[in-house]
Amino acid sequence: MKPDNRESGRMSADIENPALSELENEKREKRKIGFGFWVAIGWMVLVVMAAFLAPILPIPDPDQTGAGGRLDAPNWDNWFGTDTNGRDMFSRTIWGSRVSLTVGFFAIVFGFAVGGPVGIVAGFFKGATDKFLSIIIFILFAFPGLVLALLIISLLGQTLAVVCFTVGIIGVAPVARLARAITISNAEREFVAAARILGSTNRRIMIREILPNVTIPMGALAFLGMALAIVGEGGLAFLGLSVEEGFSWGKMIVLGSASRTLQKAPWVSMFPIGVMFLTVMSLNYAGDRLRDFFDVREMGIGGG
Amino acid sequence: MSAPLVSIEDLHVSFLTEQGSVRAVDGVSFDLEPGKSIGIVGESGSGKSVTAKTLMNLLPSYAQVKGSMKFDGRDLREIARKKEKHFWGVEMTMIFQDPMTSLNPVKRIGEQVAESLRVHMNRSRSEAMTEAGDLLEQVGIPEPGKRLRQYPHELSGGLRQRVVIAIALACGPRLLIADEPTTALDVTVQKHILDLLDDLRKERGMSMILITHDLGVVKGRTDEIMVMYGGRTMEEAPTSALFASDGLHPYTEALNATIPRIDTPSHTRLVPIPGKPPEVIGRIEGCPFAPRCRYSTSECLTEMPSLVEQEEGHFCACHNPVGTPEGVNAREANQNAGYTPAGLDMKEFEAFAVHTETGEI
Repeated sequence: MKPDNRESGRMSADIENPALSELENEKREKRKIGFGFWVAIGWMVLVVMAAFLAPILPIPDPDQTGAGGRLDAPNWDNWFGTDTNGRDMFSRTIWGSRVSLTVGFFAIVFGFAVGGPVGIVAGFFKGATDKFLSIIIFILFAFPGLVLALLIISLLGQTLAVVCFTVGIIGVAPVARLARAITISNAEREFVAAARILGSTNRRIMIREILPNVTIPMGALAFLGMALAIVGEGGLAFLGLSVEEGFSWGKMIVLGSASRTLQKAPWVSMFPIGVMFLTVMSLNYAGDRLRDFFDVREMGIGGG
Repeated sequence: MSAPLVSIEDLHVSFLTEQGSVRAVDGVSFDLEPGKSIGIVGESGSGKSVTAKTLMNLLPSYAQVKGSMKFDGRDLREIARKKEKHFWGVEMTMIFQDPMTSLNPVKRIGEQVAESLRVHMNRSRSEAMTEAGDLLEQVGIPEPGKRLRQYPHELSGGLRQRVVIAIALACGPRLLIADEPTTALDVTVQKHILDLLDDLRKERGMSMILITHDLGVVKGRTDEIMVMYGGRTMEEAPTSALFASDGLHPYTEALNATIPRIDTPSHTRLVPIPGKPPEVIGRIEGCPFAPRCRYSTSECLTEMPSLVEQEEGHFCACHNPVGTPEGVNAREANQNAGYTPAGLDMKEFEAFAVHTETGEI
């Protein structure tokens, strides 16, 4: 950079074109998302890859008893040790991630697919529509999540789909409320009026003008929500309400948390806990960083 | 005199609220000829923006509109009823006060400029983009090609307002409504934008309605000026006639006195108009400005003066216009009493009097 040349260049250009003097805050410092974000993403990629590739990874069958002794401590053959039935904990942690991640992902997809549109419609139309939808949102909020989960799972059975649906439905209310708040703040903006002048219908305005503005802050929430959903599945497992077939991190933790096992072989619960902890923390951290990074308002839309 | 492009007659707009009916616009009429411009001036709540939104068909559904609005001889409400697709945004467009909020923050500039071209003019994506680049160049944006790919937050306020203007001009409108187009901008940028609007208007033979609270903005810029207060027209005149005096209406005079002047010594206090803009719920008896007016008489509190042609083309709605014998008498009577008939202390006008009576400050 040659500051001297640029200065004089700009000054002479000013005379020819007044708009150039309006350029001054155009060049902003590029924001950095930070190293930590990439570490978190790296961990998530590792976990997701492992979950996907579990069948072809050179690891023992997770259900095979006698892959080592009973409650073996971590060693070269069984990196994470073995559980009460002598099954390899490393392999089980990888296989268990499949259920946990599926619940985390699909619960959030469900929560957003339902809560997002409800919130946008409520915030956009306001009035009676808003009142009606808001009451439903409030009822969902007021309903104790655990009781709701018990109710749904005991009615519909302990399948993977039902667990996803249950955790997802608990997420609908907060998602809807956030979407509604963001929509309200955007619907008042003049670009919506401008779109209306262009002859856009309400539906078009909601999809083309409002939705992109809602998506960015909500995208960050998706990461945080996924973290909560994974923990939520663990909670359900503790109550014996998670999937009946197969196992998840939650179910493994429960298995390892019997007091005798915990005393004799803490690794049986500690490894799934550790992996879950790291995953949830990564999701939270990445979500936070994304929210900061993409917060358009901070970049001068509101303040100017 | 050619046929007016816009013709508004006895426009009433009211909003039904829980507290009652709010009369935002109360019997406003004006004509605007093709290629001419009119400035609508008034404080917040004077009904100027509502007038603009009524023209643009942007009022919420609970608004009640009475009166006639014609554009090029066609009834605007009829056009709205038929849901004509290529009218608003093509024949008539509007730019808003705040360029920070009138652009969608998550869409690229190019996309936003091209959108109306694609919707109304049936341009293909690439044609619209090329035209968008040309438009940006016309409104004086440097490096238009680069701007097309940028997002609104990457531009400064002045550039953003230029983009908004480019969007408004995309379909070659015959009428441009500018609602406080420079209020949110830096003073140094204000003049650039106003000059740009002026140039573009002349170049394209467009009509323009410029809405502002600042008489200084329209001074020497628009062909006509209409001063509004409490939803009513207070004074309407060709700009030169209005500024020949400081305005016939006490409200215009007051607005004039509030303009900061360059020749005043620094640290001179700005002068506010005493009192507050009126609540316009329910029916107002008398002149809405009477409670804040030092020329008011008891008649002003009970009877709304009608808009009378005081000089040629110069209309004013006042019982005691400034500079007339009635006006002088009314002010002196109030001065002697110490209070206006509405109960406002005449002392509040002292700062004001210095401004308006000595001529120099």
